[in-house]
Amino acid sequence: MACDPEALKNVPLFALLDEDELALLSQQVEHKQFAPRSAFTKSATRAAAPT
Amino acid sequence: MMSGRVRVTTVDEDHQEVVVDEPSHGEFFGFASMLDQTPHQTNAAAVEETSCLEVDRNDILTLLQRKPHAGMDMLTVLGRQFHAAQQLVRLRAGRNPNEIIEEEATLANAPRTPSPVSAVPGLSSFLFWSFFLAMPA
Repeated sequence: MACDPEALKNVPLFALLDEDELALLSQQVEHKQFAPRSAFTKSATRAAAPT
Repeated sequence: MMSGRVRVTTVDEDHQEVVVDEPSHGEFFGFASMLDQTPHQTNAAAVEETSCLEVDRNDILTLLQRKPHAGMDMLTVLGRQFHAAQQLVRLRAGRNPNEIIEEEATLANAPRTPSPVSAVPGLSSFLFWSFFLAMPA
């Protein structure tokens, strides 16, 4: 699931990206929810993606 | 990380779990391993209901292929964090331990000022990973 480009503005690494760059990146990243005590693991589908 | 609370841990040589980071809003974790495609050297778990953005290496690659100038923007941010880290190390290395002990004894009841590390967003993670990755395996 893509995210709102505004959400990326709060990430220091992406703070200098312009609107177009943020819009593009927001289509690439995935917004995820984690329940308490759940461990973070790399998504299987994304791990299999070509580099 | 967008909201909630995350704890990043590792296991030390005494097999004790050690908390190495608790990233706050806007900070990232697992970044170095994501970039250099190596296994993560720490574990991360949500402490409470948590919302995160998963940024994959391919996400960055796609951005750089379509918007090459974005690379300079991100390098600029990393350069600023690197400068801040260097400045902090310079300040710390140049201080006399005896003067620090004396200061703390004198100012024990004075109000505390925020750490220079907490003043720069993402710097605590940057510092941790800089030192962690520089350590020999």
